[in-house]
Amino acid sequence: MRITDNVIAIFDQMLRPAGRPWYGLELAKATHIGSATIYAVLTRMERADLVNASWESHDPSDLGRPQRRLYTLTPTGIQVGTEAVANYRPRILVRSAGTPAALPGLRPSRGSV
Amino acid sequence: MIDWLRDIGVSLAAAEIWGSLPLISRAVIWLQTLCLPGERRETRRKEWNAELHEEYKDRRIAGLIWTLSLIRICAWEGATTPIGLRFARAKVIVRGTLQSSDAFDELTWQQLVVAALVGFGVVNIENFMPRLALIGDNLVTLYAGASCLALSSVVEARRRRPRWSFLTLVGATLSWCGAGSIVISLGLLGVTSGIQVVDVVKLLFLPVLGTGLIAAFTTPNRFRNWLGSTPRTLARYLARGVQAFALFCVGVWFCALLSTSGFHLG
Repeated sequence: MRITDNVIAIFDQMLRPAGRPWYGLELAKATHIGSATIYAVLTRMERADLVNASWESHDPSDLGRPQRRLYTLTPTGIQVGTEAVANYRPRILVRSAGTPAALPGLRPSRGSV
Repeated sequence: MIDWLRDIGVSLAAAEIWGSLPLISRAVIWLQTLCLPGERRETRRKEWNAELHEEYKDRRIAGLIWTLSLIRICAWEGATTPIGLRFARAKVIVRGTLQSSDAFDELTWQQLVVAALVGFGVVNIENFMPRLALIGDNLVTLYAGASCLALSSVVEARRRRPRWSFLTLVGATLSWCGAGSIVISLGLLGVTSGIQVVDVVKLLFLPVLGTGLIAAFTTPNRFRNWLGSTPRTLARYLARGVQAFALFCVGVWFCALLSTSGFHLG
Protein backbone atom coordinates (compact mmCIF):
# COMPACT_ATOMS: atom_id res chain seq x y z
CA MET A 1 0.00 0.00 0.00
CA ARG A 2 1.23 3.49 -0.86
CA ILE A 3 1.92 5.59 2.25
CA THR A 4 0.52 9.00 1.33
CA ASP A 5 0.43 12.16 3.41
CA ASN A 6 -3.15 11.39 4.39
CA VAL A 7 -2.12 7.95 5.65
CA ILE A 8 0.71 9.53 7.64
CA ALA A 9 -1.66 12.05 9.20
CA ILE A 10 -4.05 9.26 10.20
CA PHE A 11 -1.21 7.17 11.62
CA ASP A 12 0.03 10.16 13.59
CA GLN A 13 -3.39 10.74 15.09
CA MET A 14 -4.19 7.11 15.81
CA LEU A 15 -0.85 6.50 17.51
CA ARG A 16 -1.76 8.93 20.29
CA PRO A 17 -2.52 6.54 22.03
CA ALA A 18 -2.33 3.52 19.75
CA GLY A 19 -5.14 1.48 21.28
CA ARG A 20 -7.83 4.13 21.14
CA PRO A 21 -10.72 3.49 18.73
CA TRP A 22 -11.73 6.30 16.37
CA TYR A 23 -14.76 6.79 14.18
CA GLY A 24 -14.53 8.27 10.72
CA LEU A 25 -15.70 11.83 11.19
CA GLU A 26 -13.77 12.16 14.43
CA LEU A 27 -10.59 11.25 12.57
CA ALA A 28 -11.49 13.64 9.76
CA LYS A 29 -11.80 16.52 12.21
CA ALA A 30 -8.61 15.66 14.06
CA THR A 31 -6.49 15.27 10.93
CA HIS A 32 -8.18 18.01 8.84
CA ILE A 33 -8.62 15.52 6.03
CA GLY A 34 -11.82 15.92 4.03
CA SER A 35 -14.65 14.02 5.65
CA ALA A 36 -15.37 12.12 2.46
CA THR A 37 -11.71 11.34 1.70
CA ILE A 38 -11.13 9.81 5.11
CA TYR A 39 -13.31 6.78 4.36
CA ALA A 40 -11.40 5.94 1.20
CA VAL A 41 -8.10 6.13 3.06
CA LEU A 42 -9.43 4.05 5.95
CA THR A 43 -10.77 1.46 3.51
CA ARG A 44 -7.35 1.15 1.87
CA MET A 45 -5.72 0.84 5.28
CA GLU A 46 -8.26 -1.78 6.30
CA ARG A 47 -7.58 -3.79 3.17
CA ALA A 48 -3.84 -3.59 3.91
CA ASP A 49 -4.50 -4.85 7.46
CA LEU A 50 -3.19 -1.64 9.00
CA VAL A 51 -6.45 -0.82 10.79
CA ASN A 52 -9.21 -2.98 12.11
CA ALA A 53 -12.87 -1.89 11.86
CA SER A 54 -15.54 -3.03 14.27
CA TRP A 55 -18.95 -1.93 15.49
CA GLU A 56 -19.54 -0.34 18.83
CA SER A 57 -20.54 -3.04 21.28
CA HIS A 58 -23.08 -1.00 23.26
CA ASP A 59 -26.81 -1.29 22.71
CA PRO A 60 -28.07 1.63 20.55
CA SER A 61 -31.03 2.10 22.89
CA ASP A 62 -28.63 2.67 25.76
CA LEU A 63 -26.48 5.00 23.70
CA GLY A 64 -29.46 6.92 22.37
CA ARG A 65 -27.93 6.87 18.90
CA PRO A 66 -26.93 4.35 16.22
CA GLN A 67 -23.81 2.26 16.66
CA ARG A 68 -20.63 3.80 15.29
CA ARG A 69 -18.04 1.97 13.24
CA LEU A 70 -14.75 2.21 15.09
CA TYR A 71 -11.26 1.95 13.65
CA THR A 72 -8.22 0.82 15.64
CA LEU A 73 -4.64 0.21 14.58
CA THR A 74 -3.58 -3.41 14.20
CA PRO A 75 -0.15 -4.52 15.50
CA THR A 76 1.10 -4.28 11.92
CA GLY A 77 -0.43 -0.82 11.64
CA ILE A 78 1.28 0.32 14.82
CA GLN A 79 4.63 -0.89 13.54
CA VAL A 80 4.26 0.55 10.04
CA GLY A 81 2.75 3.77 11.36
CA THR A 82 5.45 4.40 13.91
CA GLU A 83 8.16 4.01 11.26
CA ALA A 84 6.28 6.09 8.71
CA VAL A 85 5.66 8.97 11.10
CA ALA A 86 9.26 8.90 12.32
CA ASN A 87 10.60 9.06 8.76
CA TYR A 88 8.11 11.67 7.59
CA ARG A 89 9.56 14.67 5.75
CA PRO A 90 6.81 16.81 4.27
CA ARG A 91 7.63 18.34 0.92
CA ILE A 92 6.30 21.73 1.87
CA LEU A 93 9.00 22.08 4.54
CA VAL A 94 11.71 21.26 2.02
CA ARG A 95 10.40 23.83 -0.44
CA SER A 96 9.93 26.69 1.98
CA ALA A 97 12.64 25.75 4.48
CA GLY A 98 10.27 27.01 7.13
CA THR A 99 9.93 25.99 10.72
CA PRO A 100 8.69 22.52 11.54
CA ALA A 101 5.00 22.21 12.03
CA ALA A 102 2.78 19.63 13.65
CA LEU A 103 1.65 16.88 11.32
CA PRO A 104 -2.12 16.94 11.54
CA GLY A 105 -2.64 20.63 10.95
CA LEU A 106 -0.06 20.97 8.22
CA ARG A 107 -1.86 19.28 5.32
CA PRO A 108 1.20 19.18 3.03
CA SER A 109 1.12 18.41 -0.65
CA ARG A 110 0.13 14.92 -1.69
CA GLY A 111 2.69 12.26 -2.53
CA SER A 112 4.58 9.22 -1.35
CA VAL A 113 7.08 9.33 1.45
CA MET B 1 -61.64 21.59 1.34
CA ILE B 2 -59.00 22.38 -1.22
CA ASP B 3 -58.72 25.99 -0.06
CA TRP B 4 -58.30 24.85 3.47
CA LEU B 5 -55.64 22.31 2.52
CA ARG B 6 -53.89 24.84 0.31
CA ASP B 7 -53.65 27.37 3.12
CA ILE B 8 -52.24 24.83 5.55
CA GLY B 9 -49.97 23.35 2.93
CA VAL B 10 -48.44 26.64 1.93
CA SER B 11 -47.93 27.83 5.46
CA LEU B 12 -46.21 24.61 6.53
CA ALA B 13 -44.36 23.78 3.33
CA ALA B 14 -41.21 25.65 4.33
CA ALA B 15 -41.15 24.05 7.76
CA GLU B 16 -41.74 20.66 6.22
CA ILE B 17 -38.85 20.98 3.80
CA TRP B 18 -36.60 22.12 6.62
CA GLY B 19 -37.74 19.27 8.83
CA SER B 20 -37.26 16.73 6.07
CA LEU B 21 -33.64 17.59 5.37
CA PRO B 22 -32.28 14.84 7.66
CA LEU B 23 -34.59 12.37 5.92
CA ILE B 24 -33.36 13.60 2.56
CA SER B 25 -29.77 13.17 3.73
CA ARG B 26 -30.51 9.60 4.73
CA ALA B 27 -32.22 9.03 1.41
CA VAL B 28 -29.14 10.35 -0.39
CA ILE B 29 -26.97 7.88 1.53
CA TRP B 30 -29.40 5.10 0.69
CA LEU B 31 -29.35 5.96 -2.99
CA GLN B 32 -25.60 6.48 -3.21
CA THR B 33 -24.79 3.17 -1.61
CA LEU B 34 -26.86 1.25 -4.13
CA CYS B 35 -23.75 0.99 -6.28
CA LEU B 36 -21.89 -0.92 -3.56
CA PRO B 37 -21.91 -4.70 -3.35
CA GLY B 38 -24.13 -6.39 -0.73
CA GLU B 39 -22.33 -6.49 2.60
CA ARG B 40 -20.37 -3.36 1.87
CA ARG B 41 -23.58 -1.46 1.19
CA GLU B 42 -25.07 -2.39 4.55
CA THR B 43 -21.85 -1.48 6.34
CA ARG B 44 -21.60 1.92 4.72
CA ARG B 45 -25.25 2.77 5.26
CA LYS B 46 -25.04 1.89 8.90
CA GLU B 47 -21.74 3.72 9.40
CA TRP B 48 -22.74 6.91 7.62
CA ASN B 49 -26.21 7.06 9.10
CA ALA B 50 -24.63 6.81 12.55
CA GLU B 51 -22.21 9.61 11.79
CA LEU B 52 -24.90 11.72 10.18
CA HIS B 53 -26.94 11.32 13.34
CA GLU B 54 -24.01 12.06 15.62
CA GLU B 55 -22.25 14.91 13.87
CA TYR B 56 -24.97 16.65 11.90
CA LYS B 57 -27.99 16.21 14.11
CA ASP B 58 -28.61 19.93 14.36
CA ARG B 59 -26.82 20.98 11.17
CA ARG B 60 -29.22 19.98 8.45
CA ILE B 61 -27.71 21.74 5.45
CA ALA B 62 -24.16 20.80 6.42
CA GLY B 63 -25.31 17.21 6.82
CA LEU B 64 -26.88 17.20 3.38
CA ILE B 65 -23.72 18.64 1.82
CA TRP B 66 -21.67 16.02 3.65
CA THR B 67 -23.82 13.17 2.37
CA LEU B 68 -23.60 14.52 -1.18
CA SER B 69 -19.80 14.59 -0.89
CA LEU B 70 -19.80 10.86 -0.17
CA ILE B 71 -20.80 9.98 -3.71
CA ARG B 72 -17.24 9.89 -4.97
CA ILE B 73 -16.30 7.47 -2.20
CA CYS B 74 -19.20 5.26 -3.21
CA ALA B 75 -18.09 5.38 -6.82
CA TRP B 76 -14.50 4.59 -5.89
CA GLU B 77 -15.43 1.86 -3.44
CA GLY B 78 -17.96 0.35 -5.83
CA ALA B 79 -15.34 0.21 -8.54
CA THR B 80 -12.55 -1.21 -6.38
CA THR B 81 -14.43 -3.64 -4.16
CA PRO B 82 -14.20 -7.14 -5.59
CA ILE B 83 -17.62 -8.70 -6.11
CA GLY B 84 -18.00 -12.33 -5.23
CA LEU B 85 -19.82 -14.69 -7.55
CA ARG B 86 -22.76 -14.81 -5.15
CA PHE B 87 -23.24 -11.04 -5.32
CA ALA B 88 -23.02 -10.99 -9.11
CA ARG B 89 -26.22 -13.00 -9.53
CA ALA B 90 -29.16 -10.90 -10.73
CA LYS B 91 -31.48 -12.28 -8.05
CA VAL B 92 -29.12 -11.26 -5.26
CA ILE B 93 -28.56 -7.82 -6.79
CA VAL B 94 -32.29 -7.12 -7.04
CA ARG B 95 -32.97 -8.44 -3.56
CA GLY B 96 -30.08 -6.47 -2.11
CA THR B 97 -31.33 -3.31 -3.79
CA LEU B 98 -34.86 -3.65 -2.54
CA GLN B 99 -34.10 -4.92 0.95
CA SER B 100 -32.07 -3.28 3.62
CA SER B 101 -31.50 -3.85 7.29
CA ASP B 102 -32.00 -0.11 7.64
CA ALA B 103 -35.77 -0.27 7.33
CA PHE B 104 -36.14 3.33 8.45
CA ASP B 105 -35.60 4.46 4.90
CA GLU B 106 -38.10 1.98 3.59
CA LEU B 107 -40.71 3.26 6.03
CA THR B 108 -39.93 6.80 4.95
CA TRP B 109 -40.47 5.92 1.33
CA GLN B 110 -43.68 4.15 2.22
CA GLN B 111 -44.83 7.23 4.06
CA LEU B 112 -44.13 9.45 1.07
CA VAL B 113 -45.73 7.05 -1.38
CA VAL B 114 -48.84 6.67 0.76
CA ALA B 115 -49.17 10.44 1.13
CA ALA B 116 -48.77 11.00 -2.60
CA LEU B 117 -51.15 8.23 -3.67
CA VAL B 118 -53.86 9.06 -1.17
CA GLY B 119 -53.54 12.76 -1.95
CA PHE B 120 -53.98 12.04 -5.63
CA GLY B 121 -56.94 9.81 -4.86
CA VAL B 122 -58.64 12.43 -2.69
CA VAL B 123 -58.53 15.00 -5.45
CA ASN B 124 -59.61 12.63 -8.19
CA ILE B 125 -62.14 10.54 -6.33
CA GLU B 126 -65.10 12.51 -7.64
CA ASN B 127 -64.06 11.69 -11.19
CA PHE B 128 -64.44 7.96 -10.85
CA MET B 129 -66.70 7.61 -7.78
CA PRO B 130 -69.11 10.57 -7.87
CA ARG B 131 -71.56 9.11 -5.35
CA LEU B 132 -68.84 8.53 -2.82
CA ALA B 133 -67.24 11.91 -3.33
CA LEU B 134 -68.58 13.54 -0.18
CA ILE B 135 -67.94 10.65 2.18
CA GLY B 136 -64.79 9.67 0.36
CA ASP B 137 -63.35 13.14 0.68
CA ASN B 138 -63.71 13.14 4.40
CA LEU B 139 -62.79 9.56 5.13
CA VAL B 140 -59.79 9.31 2.88
CA THR B 141 -58.48 12.62 4.10
CA LEU B 142 -58.84 11.67 7.71
CA TYR B 143 -57.51 8.17 7.26
CA ALA B 144 -54.51 9.48 5.39
CA GLY B 145 -53.88 12.04 8.07
CA ALA B 146 -54.12 9.42 10.78
CA SER B 147 -51.88 7.08 8.84
CA CYS B 148 -49.27 9.76 8.41
CA LEU B 149 -49.34 10.58 12.08
CA ALA B 150 -49.23 6.99 13.25
CA LEU B 151 -46.61 5.86 10.79
CA SER B 152 -44.42 8.87 11.41
CA SER B 153 -44.53 8.17 15.13
CA VAL B 154 -43.49 4.61 14.43
CA VAL B 155 -40.67 5.86 12.23
CA GLU B 156 -39.52 8.25 14.89
CA ALA B 157 -39.61 5.53 17.53
CA ARG B 158 -37.71 3.16 15.30
CA ARG B 159 -35.00 5.72 14.75
CA ARG B 160 -34.43 5.71 18.47
CA ARG B 161 -34.30 1.91 18.56
CA PRO B 162 -32.71 0.72 15.33
CA ARG B 163 -33.38 -3.00 15.94
CA TRP B 164 -37.01 -3.94 15.87
CA SER B 165 -38.24 -7.46 16.29
CA PHE B 166 -40.79 -9.01 13.97
CA LEU B 167 -43.46 -8.92 16.67
CA THR B 168 -42.84 -5.24 17.23
CA LEU B 169 -43.36 -4.51 13.56
CA VAL B 170 -46.55 -6.58 13.55
CA GLY B 171 -47.80 -4.71 16.60
CA ALA B 172 -46.99 -1.36 15.05
CA THR B 173 -48.75 -2.31 11.82
CA LEU B 174 -51.86 -3.44 13.68
CA SER B 175 -51.86 -0.24 15.67
CA TRP B 176 -51.52 1.73 12.48
CA CYS B 177 -54.56 -0.02 11.02
CA GLY B 178 -56.37 0.41 14.32
CA ALA B 179 -55.71 4.11 14.33
CA GLY B 180 -57.15 4.35 10.83
CA SER B 181 -60.25 2.39 11.84
CA ILE B 182 -60.90 4.63 14.81
CA VAL B 183 -60.56 7.73 12.70
CA ILE B 184 -62.82 6.35 9.98
CA SER B 185 -65.49 5.54 12.56
CA LEU B 186 -65.33 8.95 14.14
CA GLY B 187 -65.10 10.61 10.75
CA LEU B 188 -68.21 8.75 9.60
CA LEU B 189 -70.05 10.07 12.63
CA GLY B 190 -68.91 13.56 11.73
CA VAL B 191 -70.02 13.24 8.12
CA THR B 192 -73.42 11.77 8.85
CA SER B 193 -74.14 14.42 11.47
CA GLY B 194 -73.39 17.16 8.95
CA ILE B 195 -70.24 18.48 10.60
CA GLN B 196 -67.74 19.99 8.20
CA VAL B 197 -64.43 18.27 7.68
CA VAL B 198 -62.47 21.09 9.32
CA ASP B 199 -64.46 20.63 12.50
CA VAL B 200 -63.98 16.88 12.38
CA VAL B 201 -60.25 17.31 11.99
CA LYS B 202 -60.15 19.65 14.94
CA LEU B 203 -62.27 17.23 16.92
CA LEU B 204 -60.05 14.30 16.00
CA PHE B 205 -56.68 15.93 16.29
CA LEU B 206 -55.99 14.81 19.81
CA PRO B 207 -57.38 11.25 19.41
CA VAL B 208 -55.40 10.82 16.22
CA LEU B 209 -52.27 12.06 17.87
CA GLY B 210 -52.92 9.70 20.75
CA THR B 211 -53.38 6.68 18.54
CA GLY B 212 -50.25 7.61 16.63
CA LEU B 213 -48.27 7.71 19.82
CA ILE B 214 -49.76 4.42 20.99
CA ALA B 215 -48.70 2.87 17.70
CA ALA B 216 -45.14 3.72 18.58
CA PHE B 217 -45.33 1.92 21.91
CA THR B 218 -46.99 -1.40 21.25
CA THR B 219 -44.55 -3.73 22.95
CA PRO B 220 -43.19 -3.84 26.47
CA ASN B 221 -40.09 -2.06 25.22
CA ARG B 222 -42.20 0.68 23.71
CA PHE B 223 -44.16 0.93 26.93
CA ARG B 224 -40.95 1.21 28.89
CA ASN B 225 -39.84 3.97 26.57
CA TRP B 226 -43.19 5.62 26.96
CA LEU B 227 -42.76 5.70 30.71
CA GLY B 228 -39.27 7.08 30.34
CA SER B 229 -40.12 9.64 27.68
CA THR B 230 -39.21 13.22 28.33
CA PRO B 231 -41.37 16.13 27.23
CA ARG B 232 -38.76 16.82 24.57
CA THR B 233 -39.17 13.32 23.17
CA LEU B 234 -42.92 13.67 23.06
CA ALA B 235 -42.55 17.05 21.41
CA ARG B 236 -40.36 15.39 18.77
CA TYR B 237 -43.05 12.81 18.06
CA LEU B 238 -45.60 15.58 17.77
CA ALA B 239 -43.39 17.61 15.45
CA ARG B 240 -42.78 14.61 13.22
CA GLY B 241 -46.47 13.88 13.05
CA VAL B 242 -47.31 17.45 12.16
CA GLN B 243 -44.61 17.42 9.51
CA ALA B 244 -45.99 14.24 7.99
CA PHE B 245 -49.50 15.62 7.95
CA ALA B 246 -48.25 18.84 6.39
CA LEU B 247 -46.51 16.78 3.74
CA PHE B 248 -49.78 15.08 3.02
CA CYS B 249 -51.52 18.48 2.75
CA VAL B 250 -48.87 19.69 0.33
CA GLY B 251 -49.36 16.53 -1.72
CA VAL B 252 -53.11 17.12 -1.87
CA TRP B 253 -52.60 20.73 -2.82
CA PHE B 254 -50.21 19.75 -5.59
CA CYS B 255 -52.66 17.18 -6.91
CA ALA B 256 -55.40 19.79 -6.74
CA LEU B 257 -53.32 22.04 -8.94
CA LEU B 258 -52.94 19.17 -11.40
CA SER B 259 -56.68 18.55 -11.35
CA THR B 260 -57.65 22.17 -11.88
CA SER B 261 -55.24 22.29 -14.77
CA GLY B 262 -57.23 19.53 -16.48
CA PHE B 263 -55.16 16.53 -15.44
CA HIS B 264 -57.58 13.82 -14.25
CA LEU B 265 -57.53 10.08 -13.84
CA GLY B 266 -61.00 9.43 -15.17
